[in-house]
Amino acid sequence: MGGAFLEVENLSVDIALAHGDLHAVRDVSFSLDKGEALGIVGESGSGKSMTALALMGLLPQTARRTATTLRLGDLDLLHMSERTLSNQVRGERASMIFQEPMTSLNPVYTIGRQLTEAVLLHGKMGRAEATERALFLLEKVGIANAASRLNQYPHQMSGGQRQRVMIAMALMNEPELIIADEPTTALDVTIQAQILQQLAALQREFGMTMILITHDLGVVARTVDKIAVMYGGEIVETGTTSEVFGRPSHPYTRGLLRCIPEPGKGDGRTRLGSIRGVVPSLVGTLTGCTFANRCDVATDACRQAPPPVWPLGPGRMIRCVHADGGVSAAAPPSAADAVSSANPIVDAASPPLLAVEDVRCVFKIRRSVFAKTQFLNAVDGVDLALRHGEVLALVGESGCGKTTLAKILLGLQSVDAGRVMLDGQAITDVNSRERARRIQPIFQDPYSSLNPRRTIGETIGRPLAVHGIGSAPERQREVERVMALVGLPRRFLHRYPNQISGGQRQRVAIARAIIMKPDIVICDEPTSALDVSVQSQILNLLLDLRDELGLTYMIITHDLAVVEYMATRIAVMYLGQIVEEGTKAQIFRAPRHPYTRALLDSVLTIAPGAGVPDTRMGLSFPNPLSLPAGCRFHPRCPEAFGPCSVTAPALRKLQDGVVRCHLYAETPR
Amino acid sequence: MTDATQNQALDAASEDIGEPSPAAALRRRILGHKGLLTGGIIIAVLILLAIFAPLLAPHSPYAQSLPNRLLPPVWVDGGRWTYLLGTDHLGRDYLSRLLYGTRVSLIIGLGAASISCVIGVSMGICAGYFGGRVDQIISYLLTCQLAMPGLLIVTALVFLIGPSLLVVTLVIGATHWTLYLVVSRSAAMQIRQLDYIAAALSIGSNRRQVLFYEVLPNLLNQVIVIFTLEIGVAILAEAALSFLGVGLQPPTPAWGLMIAEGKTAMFFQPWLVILPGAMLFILVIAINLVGDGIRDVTAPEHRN
Amino acid sequence: MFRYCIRRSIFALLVALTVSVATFFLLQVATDPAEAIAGPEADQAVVQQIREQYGFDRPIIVQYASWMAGILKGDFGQSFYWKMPVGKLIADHAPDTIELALSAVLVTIVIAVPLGIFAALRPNTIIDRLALSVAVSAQAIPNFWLGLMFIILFAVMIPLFPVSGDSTWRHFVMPAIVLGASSVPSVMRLTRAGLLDVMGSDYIRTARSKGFRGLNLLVRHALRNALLPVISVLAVQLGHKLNGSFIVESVFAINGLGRLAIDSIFGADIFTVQMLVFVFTLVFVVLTFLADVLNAWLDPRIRLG
Repeated sequence: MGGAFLEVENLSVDIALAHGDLHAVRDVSFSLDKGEALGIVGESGSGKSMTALALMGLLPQTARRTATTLRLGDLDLLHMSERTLSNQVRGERASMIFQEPMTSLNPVYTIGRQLTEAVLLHGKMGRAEATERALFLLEKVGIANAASRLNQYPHQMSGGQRQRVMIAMALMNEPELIIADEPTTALDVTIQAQILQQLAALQREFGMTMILITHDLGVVARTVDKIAVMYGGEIVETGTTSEVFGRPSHPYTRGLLRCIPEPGKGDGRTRLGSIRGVVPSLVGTLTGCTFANRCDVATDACRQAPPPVWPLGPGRMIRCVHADGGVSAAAPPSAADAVSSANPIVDAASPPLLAVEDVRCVFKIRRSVFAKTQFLNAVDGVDLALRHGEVLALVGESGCGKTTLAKILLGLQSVDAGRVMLDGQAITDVNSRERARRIQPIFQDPYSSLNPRRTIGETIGRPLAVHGIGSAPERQREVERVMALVGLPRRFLHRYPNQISGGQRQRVAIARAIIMKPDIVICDEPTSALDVSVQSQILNLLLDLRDELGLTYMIITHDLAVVEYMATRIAVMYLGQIVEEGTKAQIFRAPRHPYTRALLDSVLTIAPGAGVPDTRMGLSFPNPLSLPAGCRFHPRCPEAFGPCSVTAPALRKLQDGVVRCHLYAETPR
Repeated sequence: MTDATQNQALDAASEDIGEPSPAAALRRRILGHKGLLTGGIIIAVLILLAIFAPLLAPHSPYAQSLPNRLLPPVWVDGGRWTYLLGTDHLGRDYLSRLLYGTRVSLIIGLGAASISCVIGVSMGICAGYFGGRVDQIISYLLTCQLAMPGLLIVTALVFLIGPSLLVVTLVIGATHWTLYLVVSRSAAMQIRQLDYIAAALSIGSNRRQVLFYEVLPNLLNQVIVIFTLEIGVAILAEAALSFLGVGLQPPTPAWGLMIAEGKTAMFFQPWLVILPGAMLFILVIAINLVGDGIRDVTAPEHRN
Repeated sequence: MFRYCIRRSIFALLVALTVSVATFFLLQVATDPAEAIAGPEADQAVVQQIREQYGFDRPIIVQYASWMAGILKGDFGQSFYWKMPVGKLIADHAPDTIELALSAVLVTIVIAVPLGIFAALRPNTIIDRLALSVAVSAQAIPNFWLGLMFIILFAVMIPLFPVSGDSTWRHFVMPAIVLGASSVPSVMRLTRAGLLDVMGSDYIRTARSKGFRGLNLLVRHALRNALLPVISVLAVQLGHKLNGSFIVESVFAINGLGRLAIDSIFGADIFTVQMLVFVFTLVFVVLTFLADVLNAWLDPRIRLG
């Protein structure tokens, strides 16, 4: 392997904690040739970010790094002093792009200054030349009006633009290695596709070696050549993307692939798989295989000794007790796996359970004491109807107003116009207790939706206590009954939220929501904050509960894969308005609105080598505070024509849905 | 749900992540925090001294003995065992006066801190949770209070109304609520954004229930820290007032007053000034150690 | 920016007025000013005469209005205790206090800010623990006692500085240190916490990944963000020093506004006390106003909106 450009052998990172050492990265080895792209994939806690930080020498002070080899070209990174590392490597031969564009730029310096200082620091060129290069790169990454941007400050740009600036900044010194740590995770799906496309193109154009770190298997399948799957600090499987996704070996990889809903492939019949259990603690001494407690094919040998590494071919390996990853020993999918939740019989003629009629909600925004007061039309004339037994998915990206709408339905936000009808009665006439009995929420963040100072039992039983239902022992029995329903063991009754995992907390939130036997449950991004292997557990639980308890769901999400798995009907929102609505089949098979089509195109399914699709959307970003004239989507729309920039299209009812677009206008163009 | 899937669900959901309960973790942190333990022990000793002062003090703190005035502590030339820490300009035993002085400081400290706690925390929670107009008004009041030259006004008020233990406690309490307000307001504002508040409202809790059941328990730690530290502030404020002559009046055994009385003789009998000051220092530093210690053990992520 | 300044100055003025109203009422309510002036032994006739002479028999609102009207005309009233115009009293005593306050803030900056920076750069090491111990101790020392200790140690036992008085700069060294020491703990903690926060932020990580390190990283990227809040705090501290110096002035026999205030209180000179409170408040709000404007101007997020 002497010819490889980047070589890492036996890299380990230990972090000193109060009660022991955390073995964040264990014995990681990989190598890359010049110009290759490696994807490191794993869930939270797998050690993938730490590996990248270890390469760059950016680990926290409490971390200890050991390795046999850490070589970049002719540089020995392992024994290099901090001074040489900063002067010669960081920002010059190797650059890094981080996850959070909103906080990764210094707020008090202009974009131009932060770009040029990258080269000026390393003394590569003079100021004028540096500015030229900055302009060149800004245009390359897709920032319009680059010259005017140089004097702007980070807070004046959107998240997507800031991330583009970060990419440009990383490229200023023509690095040979570029490491991108979850570069698009914090961005909207449509922006993500554009940026990934740009990144992949730049990597090829400049011939850089790239390491892309992500939890998203679709992203990695389409942007890199080689992939390393990490779990519990170790690499458990490597290979090319077609090898690993086409013939996955390691039980974790196989389990992970089963957990992912695939839009387009799903027919509503196959139940999502899941991986049971949680990641074990990596603190202190570890025995046996880290995956053993969650593995379907684990044997006693797995729990006793650390698993060996089996080379399966050039660049292909697997770390498992079984040489074939237990593929032959795996049980065939059981009958329970194949059964799905049946599609509900929804009576389209029945009166809606929840009806939203021309609702408007406007916020007064003043970003700082200097700025003028602006008006944000968060929800701008929305009509929706939710019927018993449905699962209505409200889809949209940040700023579209879906969260505001959810708050309105839950009674947490008042409307400025229009009305919401609950079972034919205006929701403002329903008192809050009665409304609480009928509509309940499940929020996105399992870490902030539970009161950290109350036990699980207290939290789940709180709705009953507030409404004064039943005596204390009766309430206790109800709580236990509901806990069993969502799959929480009884001993969690007296635990606190910090003692249970994220997936378990979400179950607590679900239990709290259903204990009142509501009619409608509004789920606001119910699985976005969870690991992939846990998401499918929660989604399956939600579907089962719907069948058992006859619930009606409204699911608010940006994740189209979740939508495809769960929804019966879909409504697409953009900048406060509904732009398209229809049944799942219609939306996924024949989307009408260009935004819907772009959304669907932006979903990166696991198609190795297929590349990132070009959504053909414009580069401007949606700003809810300054809406364009005419159709709100037209600056980004690949099919915009004449009337789009002049008149706003009206919502038009077609026989199987609604759409708001001039392409489907009633009168001829 | 079929049995198989229910079992799978239970399996999936029942793994332990091995974290200790908050109470157990707290206990561990308390026992490991040297500052907290040191300060706690010192305060405990001082409280005992205050409670048992009548039993421990060799003389009455008011008993004058002019032939024995200005005697030095026993370890200096001329000292006597009957007056272990010497006597003041009226021949009163310093040790006894110091012991009784502990009572004065602790009572005023606790009293004033409690008054300002109630004022500051209630205003702060209202401002932080309700926002809008309420917040604007309360923040305006806060700015006015901060702009007032505090000690000056306190001194003037106490002097004019007439110095006494009660007046001193009330006036100090009524003017030292600003830190409570700032902290509880900012904490309430943060908590208001969290999802469990939205969840509480969604299940039909009314405002009172949300404030007391959800918000207050999450503020308590920070309030306790501020309360502890403010006890020290109140004690020093009273000492300053007594030193100036507008606090407790002679012949009360109060440390600040003792320093003032000893000032004139301090060049030749420095212990008259050193000893009471040292007591103040020890008490307040112990209180600060405990306050900082509580902050460290209840919110370790804020430390360092 | 201009509109911001206008809004803030109106706000500042409002605060000063509110405080002056509150103090006015409080002082009049706390006791009967006529009796306080007359003294405990005076008989009722004298008290009544004083009441009429100074207008204490008018409704409070009228008294306040005429007082405020006087200020706007430049008439700050007459002190019956000192037998001088209040304005002249204040002008005479102000320079000493200003000198003292500025030196005290200088002491605070010189000690607290570097200590805070060093502690933040080396958290959990000896320097950090030392800094925190200094903070904890300094917060517990009564400042008047510290003053007396200083006098005993550095004026009597080791005659470095004069015991009291205010004629030369030497006279101000010990008082400035004592006065400045009381705010060292809070400024140090603030600097430390602010810098720790900044050093752990994402944009510092980005700067390091570009190749910044050590002093360069600190000065160019960290300090500017970390010290922004410290500026506001120092302005507040200056304000506090100006109006909280009377204990130190008492101990060291400095003839500043603090001494004036105390003596006026003991002399029940309500007019002087009210005027002093008003002046102190006004100065404080002006200082905080300036600090706010400076802060807003330095932070592009506020300046450009």
